[in-house]
Amino acid sequence: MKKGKVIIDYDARRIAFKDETRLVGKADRYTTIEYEDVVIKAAKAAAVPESSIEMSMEALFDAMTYFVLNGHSVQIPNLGTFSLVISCKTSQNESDFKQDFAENLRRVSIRFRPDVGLKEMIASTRVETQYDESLAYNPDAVVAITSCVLSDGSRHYPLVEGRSYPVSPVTNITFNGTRLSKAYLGAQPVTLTYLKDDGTEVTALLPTTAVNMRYSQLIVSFYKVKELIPSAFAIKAIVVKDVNDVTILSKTFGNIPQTAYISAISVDEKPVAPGDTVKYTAGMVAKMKLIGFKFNLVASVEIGGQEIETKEIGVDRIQLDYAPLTTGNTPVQLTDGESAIGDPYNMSFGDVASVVVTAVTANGDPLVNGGVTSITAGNSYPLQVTGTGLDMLEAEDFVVPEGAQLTIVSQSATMIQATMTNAQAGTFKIQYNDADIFTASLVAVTADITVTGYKLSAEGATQALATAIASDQNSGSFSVILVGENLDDLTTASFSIVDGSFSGLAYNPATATIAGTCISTGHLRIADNSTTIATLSVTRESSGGDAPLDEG
Amino acid sequence: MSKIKVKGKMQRVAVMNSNRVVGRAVRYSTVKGDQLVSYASQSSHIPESTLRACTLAMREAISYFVLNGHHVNLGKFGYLGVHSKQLSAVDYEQVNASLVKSMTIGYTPSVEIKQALASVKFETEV
Repeated sequence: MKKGKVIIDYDARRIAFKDETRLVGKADRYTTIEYEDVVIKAAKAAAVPESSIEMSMEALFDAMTYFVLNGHSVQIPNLGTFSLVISCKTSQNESDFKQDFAENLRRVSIRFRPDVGLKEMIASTRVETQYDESLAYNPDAVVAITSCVLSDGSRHYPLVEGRSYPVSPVTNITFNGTRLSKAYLGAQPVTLTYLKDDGTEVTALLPTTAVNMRYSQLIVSFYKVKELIPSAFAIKAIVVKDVNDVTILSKTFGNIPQTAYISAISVDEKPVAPGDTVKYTAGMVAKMKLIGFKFNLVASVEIGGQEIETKEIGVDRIQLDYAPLTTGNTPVQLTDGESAIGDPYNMSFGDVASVVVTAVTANGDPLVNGGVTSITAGNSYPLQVTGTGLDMLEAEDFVVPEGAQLTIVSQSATMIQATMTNAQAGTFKIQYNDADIFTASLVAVTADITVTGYKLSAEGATQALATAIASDQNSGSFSVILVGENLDDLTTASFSIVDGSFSGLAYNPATATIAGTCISTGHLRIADNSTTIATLSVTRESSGGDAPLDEG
Repeated sequence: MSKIKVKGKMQRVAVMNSNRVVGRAVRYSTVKGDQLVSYASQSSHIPESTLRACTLAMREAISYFVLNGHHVNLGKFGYLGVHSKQLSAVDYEQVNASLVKSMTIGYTPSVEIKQALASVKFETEV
């Protein structure tokens, strides 16, 4: 008989007890050959009528059934032997065995043992694996991503190049497909579009540090872009397991040729929310990197469940690279007192040690503490507060100088747009739970300076400007002397036209004089490092309005 | 009605770390191919020569299909199909025929046979 051929099909499956995904094969079963087809083939081969074959097999199967069900083994030459087997629970003693046999009987079945000749034929059967030749790994091969599942459970088909997927700033995306590889993603970049809280879009490529697996499922975690990272998701632990060259830790895998597949490498990256704990045993950890924002980070080492050392540090941003705990695939067996983690922790490990990383909020305060990063304000100008956790603030949490009024226009977790009117110099505060979380002195608040009859009156000015002299009413030329602090820091570029028409504007820091020609009345904006510090309003004394100067 | 003798034997059960009575179906003689054909011939009045020719042809047909990865329907007797055991691999580059550790042919009884098995009577003896 001609040798048979069986194809073994391999699929990536999760091996629970190994805690990893591996390729598992099984004999690829083709169609079921129906009895009639077997009869037809046998009839042709033996030159016997099909009816004879059917009748004969009917008689043979009846006979086989009779013998097997009565305790005999039935041998079909060159095929095999059928026999009846039972499976039953054991009994304590012989009397129990007889008495409880009916209850203890689990299964009655027929076992088939192939004949020696058939076994030899099985052994000589050609075995092909599904990916031996035609689908052997090729970095340039097109790899199929069949679907993309976002953390909200929504599924997208298929993931294609150039297609954007709106995701929340913090999300996990699971790609399902075949042989997901860095090579594929590198050759055909997959872009994802973040929608930031302020409504702007950020388009980013898939990170390359997490795509070195050619399995059927790839999970990529996305975090908020750096400037928007909220405290609640600000710590992540990156653990690289079983890396031969630990110096490549999460920096780049670019030095590794695509054809030299990195076996047994995996990157485990997960966010640690406040109060959450991530724990790794020494045997699992090759190298660990911790990155935290606005957190107190507590890292402790346990041996045998007993905590032996704890270190806490509270910083705006922390990044610690731990020393490698393993070399290649062989865990380092450390003795007590031997240092396995570099500065600043210098912790000691035994061979059963574990690293526990817990994220806690700074001093237990609300997440908004310290969250305000910038503020700009101007008289009748919009006020903008940026930071994190700002959606927890209310209007009464803003303390403005006496006489000023603040109206919130829009509010989100990262930005508050408000309008402050009648702003005066004074202290501006943002409070939360009666505690000051942001304080600013509004010494540079805009003051309206009105030039009347080309003489400056400093109405409302509290600090920067006091007097000025204007001249030549008919020609419109004027010269204003500014009185205040740090006026020598200003330049001509510090003055810009808000409205009206001016020419020949020039500022002399030595005399603190701004001079120019006013063609039509209007306002000059004075800014220092883009911060508006005053507005000069140039009007005509005789008309009392904003008519052009040359009309008088 | 079919009847199977089940014999209980006291033996050490490792996982339970104790001596327990374990039951096994008593297996009588093995019916050889010639005996089977003779019996079938007598009960069906089909000439033995025809039965032998048909048995040989069916055996060849079944082997051919099974060894090429098909599941073969044996009518009311059941199915035969190939099964394999192999090691897992980390990636596709490691996948090759050497991972296959064993291949065997498995039998699955038909519904009729399962019903017949369910109606078998058992007689226990120690």
